[in-house]
Amino acid sequence: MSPRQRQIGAIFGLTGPAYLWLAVTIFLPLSAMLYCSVLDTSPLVPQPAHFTLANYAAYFQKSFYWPLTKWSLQLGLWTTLFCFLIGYPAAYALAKKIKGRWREALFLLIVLPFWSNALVRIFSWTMVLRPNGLIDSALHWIFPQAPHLDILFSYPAVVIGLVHSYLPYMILTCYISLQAIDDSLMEAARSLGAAGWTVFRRVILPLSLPGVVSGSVLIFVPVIGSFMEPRILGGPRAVTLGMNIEEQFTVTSNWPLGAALSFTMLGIVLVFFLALYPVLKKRGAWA
Amino acid sequence: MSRAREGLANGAAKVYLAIVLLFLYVPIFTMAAMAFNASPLYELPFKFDLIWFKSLASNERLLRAGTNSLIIAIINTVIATVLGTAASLAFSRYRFRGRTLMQLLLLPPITIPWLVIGTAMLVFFFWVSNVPIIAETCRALLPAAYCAPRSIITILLGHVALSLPYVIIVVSARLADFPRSVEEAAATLGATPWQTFRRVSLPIIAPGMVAAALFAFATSFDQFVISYFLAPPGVTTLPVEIYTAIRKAFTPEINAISTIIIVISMSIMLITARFYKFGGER
Amino acid sequence: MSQVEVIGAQKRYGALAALDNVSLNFVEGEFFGLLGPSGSGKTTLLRSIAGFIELDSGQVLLDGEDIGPIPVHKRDIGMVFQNYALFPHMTVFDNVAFGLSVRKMPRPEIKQRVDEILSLVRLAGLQERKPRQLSGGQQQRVALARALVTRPKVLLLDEPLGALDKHLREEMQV
Repeated sequence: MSPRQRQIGAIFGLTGPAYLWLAVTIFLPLSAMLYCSVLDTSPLVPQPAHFTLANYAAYFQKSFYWPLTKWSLQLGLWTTLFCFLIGYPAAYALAKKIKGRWREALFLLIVLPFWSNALVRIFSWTMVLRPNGLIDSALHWIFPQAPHLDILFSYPAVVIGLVHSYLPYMILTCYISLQAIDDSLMEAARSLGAAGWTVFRRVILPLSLPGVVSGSVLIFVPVIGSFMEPRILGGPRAVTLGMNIEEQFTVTSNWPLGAALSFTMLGIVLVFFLALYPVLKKRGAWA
Repeated sequence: MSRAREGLANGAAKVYLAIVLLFLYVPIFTMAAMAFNASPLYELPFKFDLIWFKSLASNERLLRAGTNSLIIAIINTVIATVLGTAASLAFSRYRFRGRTLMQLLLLPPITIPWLVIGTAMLVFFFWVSNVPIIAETCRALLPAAYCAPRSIITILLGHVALSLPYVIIVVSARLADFPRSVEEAAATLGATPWQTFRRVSLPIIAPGMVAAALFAFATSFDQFVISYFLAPPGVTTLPVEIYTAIRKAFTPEINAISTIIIVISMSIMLITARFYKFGGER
Repeated sequence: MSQVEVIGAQKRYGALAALDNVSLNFVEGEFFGLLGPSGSGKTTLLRSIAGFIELDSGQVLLDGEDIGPIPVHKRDIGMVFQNYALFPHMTVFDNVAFGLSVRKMPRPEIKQRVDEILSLVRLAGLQERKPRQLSGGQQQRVALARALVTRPKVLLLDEPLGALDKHLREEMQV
């Protein structure tokens, strides 16, 4: 066997299992769901099904889908934005200002919440945010006459919960990017006459952009599909596209419609990535 | 920057980090506090009691869900780490046309909302499990419960798929630091590729693999969406069970088990951190 | 030691020809130094002989036999890398012993050969140290010992003295 053939064999052997797994769990299921989305009756029903685009048409025709989508998109954007605003400075502080043992310890502390149960964390926010909850009680302890806090079961509550859940992702990716920037680069910039803000704007920010982008992807994608957090923190009035899709599969058993809506959501995510593509291409955000 | 200004900047940085950490831990402390609070409705004032931990011991549903989550997470970690490390090795070691494309193909689990993946898997496995050949082969090999579209097996399939990208990212990052000349040296000394891997490469990338394994474990143990769609009635994972409980009648035993879990994970992380370095320190 | 022949070696990287119809004859027992400016193809040639690079055309013969299809770990060569490539997780002893243990040599014999060669390069007593605890000059000697202890047919040295300062270099040249 020539070295080249052996190499190809090794590549197949090493990557094969992973791809096979993904084929069975992601690619084939997506194809199956695509097929399901163009049927007119649910697979659960024994009737034969026919091809139809009605499910996709429904998205554009029924008036309530657009507000749902808007809500989900806004949720994704706000959450990502706040995670960036809060997380980037934290990552910068950790990467550049803290040294030694402390850095390791703080890093662990930031990562640790990943290990607590996401649902319990969300539910704990209800305990914190509700009237007579933690914040409310503390507020009244200081200002006994203040009105009751009524944040729970509202849009901000959902955003707070989501930001809290996904913040570590942003801190993590930004931290990895930032700590890879050699101090000598900043020193060089200063020696060439750049003041603090210019150094940040022209050296640090561009070099840490891959971290910001990866963090944004890790946050935006799950958030726009979320239904659990809006339901728990948003109360009965909260509706997102994700929640609607989930209902099609659990409550109404209208799988074709759910499938079509899922794919529409996927399309939205793809548009998001296409918008980001120039940045991704330039910076090679992948490893 | 003058000494004084630098000191101020450092101080501000520390204060900011402290605030962020406070924000991150508010719900966790609340959860832990409520686990020890006697009131079943989370009313303040606080009254210390171990009652919820005691009743947790007899809450079979929760305990079983927790065990399921644990078993699935462990199996998931083993499979994902092996598969992901193998793929990372291939990408770092060999240059070939289409390598970038192949790397991108492993990203979908992160770039596709879990909701879409979960529903797609449900549809797919439903159809697959109804194909006579597959159904019969499966039932011949495994108990019937594992051959349904919703089962521990399908949950596991989904979890590994979600964990793979994380494992690959972590291990690839570690491999990037890895000097290839060390493997070449081993080859010149007569070691076969397998021997090179086992005696030279593996020990060096071990810390990366441990980090990846921890990631994979956390991803699986905490995974809600996929488990939600693929969990059969009666067999749930911990996150799904907690969700059901929240929708119906939340009992503080949930706080108790969550507190236990986070204490255990904290200990594991501390122990692992003693032996391996996280955070990219050189 | 053996005879190495390179016949009509050709290797291109895109439009750049790293090796352009190179033919050389290394006579048995000879000590041969390749000198040239950076980018002249020295490392490419060395790595082709070692087996890390496949030539576009041409042959590499060892004792008259074409070793092109033979994988690296089956060619009986020794190589000292520019950055020494010492195994960071192994002691000096294990580093040097590696080639022998891979050939399944019995432990007592391994110990004897390793001790012998470590004395030769004047590193006796440092067996239990890790590479990061050694100086540049010491690491280089470990790399040399490791390549030599297997008594290879061909010894390849890639920029072996580049990383050392002038005094050490003169010492090693002796």
